Amino acid sequence: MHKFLEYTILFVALVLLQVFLFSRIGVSMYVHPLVYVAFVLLLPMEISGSGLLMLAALLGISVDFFMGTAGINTIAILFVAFCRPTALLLLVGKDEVKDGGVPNVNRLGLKKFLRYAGVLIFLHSVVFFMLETLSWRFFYVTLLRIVLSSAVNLVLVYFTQRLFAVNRPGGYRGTE
Amino acid sequence: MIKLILFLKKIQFFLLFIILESLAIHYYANSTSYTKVKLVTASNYVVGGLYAQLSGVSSYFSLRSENRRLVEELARLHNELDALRPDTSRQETFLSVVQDSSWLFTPTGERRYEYYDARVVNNSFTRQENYITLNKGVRDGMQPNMAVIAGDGIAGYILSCSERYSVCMSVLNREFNTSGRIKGEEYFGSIYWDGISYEYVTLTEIPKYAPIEKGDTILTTDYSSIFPPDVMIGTVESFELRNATYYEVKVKLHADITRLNHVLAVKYLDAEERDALEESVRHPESGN
Repeated sequence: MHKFLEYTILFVALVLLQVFLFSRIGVSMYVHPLVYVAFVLLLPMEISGSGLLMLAALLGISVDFFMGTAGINTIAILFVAFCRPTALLLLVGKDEVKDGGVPNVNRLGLKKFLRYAGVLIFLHSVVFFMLETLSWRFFYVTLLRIVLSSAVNLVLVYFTQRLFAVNRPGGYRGTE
Repeated sequence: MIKLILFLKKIQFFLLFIILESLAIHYYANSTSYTKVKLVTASNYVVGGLYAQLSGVSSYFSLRSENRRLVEELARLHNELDALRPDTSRQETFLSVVQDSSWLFTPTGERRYEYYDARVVNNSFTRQENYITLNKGVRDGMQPNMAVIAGDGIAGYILSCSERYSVCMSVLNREFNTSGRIKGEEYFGSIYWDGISYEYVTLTEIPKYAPIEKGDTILTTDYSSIFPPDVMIGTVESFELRNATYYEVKVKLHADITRLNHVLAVKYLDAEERDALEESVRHPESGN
């Protein structure tokens, strides 16, 4: 747990940013980036399944508490955590996962990272906005919200992983 | 047995996911708007101070427009007072008019509404269920079901109060509901938000024979035990005939909910009596 402190800072920073910035600015009705998902995306690849789920639950509960949303964030982020190992296997490759490390651009390359992060961010937005609307009546509006929010969020997550990786330019592997 | 343990170990990831997710879904599915408000109140208890600081900083940037708006409102109120007291108040100073604010009272001399000023410390508008947090609570005389008015347009009503903060149902909440009427007409309908744009609400159930035009003013009605009558809701943007029986009207909100800062909270002093009476008629057996 040598990266414990770094991840704690990332966790707190993302929750604060989400609650006080990204859920408040309201650029448009259609853009509500859920940037805290970056925490789950950037956990080391060698993390155990239950660790992943527990941390995701903790993150979701924190965001739900501060945003006053009764569980939607937890439901959405748990789903992302559940899909993460499969997404890594399918979109990144078995060999890379076996080597471990933080799944960021330095480690996976830009193309693979965007694919991996993009898919999970999209899934997260689908669950979140569908639960929030809970109606098929405004299907196209919700779809637009999902697509636009995911796109903006992917850019934000890209910058988050760059900032998070700034003190180790070579990309670190968990075993080193 | 060992096989079972091995099997459980194999699927523990899936199992844990199912357990955690069902807990979360269970909590979400059983959350009513009441528990949601309790959650917002609880989180305000923790971060309310921080929100207040943040909104304090951001309110500096809108001081200029806020001042202009206040002066405009002062002028408007001045004119209204003059119009109400045409023969006596011409020579009186503004202050004496304010002190003798008999227009706030009913003919029998009882006060009907009490106005409180408050500042918005947190306000969401990007979600489907949006809430506004005010920097005043129980100790400042706030209580649930007080109307919240920004400028002179409706913005929401108070749902729950803690000692120092109040959480309000924003107009921009899918559960928001009140009645509205066309200015100068008797026709009224119900107002709700469809969750799409933070500039518009929908006025529905306006009879098809109501004369309605783009730009008409929509006001609150006497039927609400929350909002005082004749407060501006917005203006008609467009309307459509539904089922050949009623109009569905798109109303442009008068208040800019995305830029709330200072608001008025209005306490309807007869609300309790009126609600109790209406309730006792509706459920005579529980009234006793």
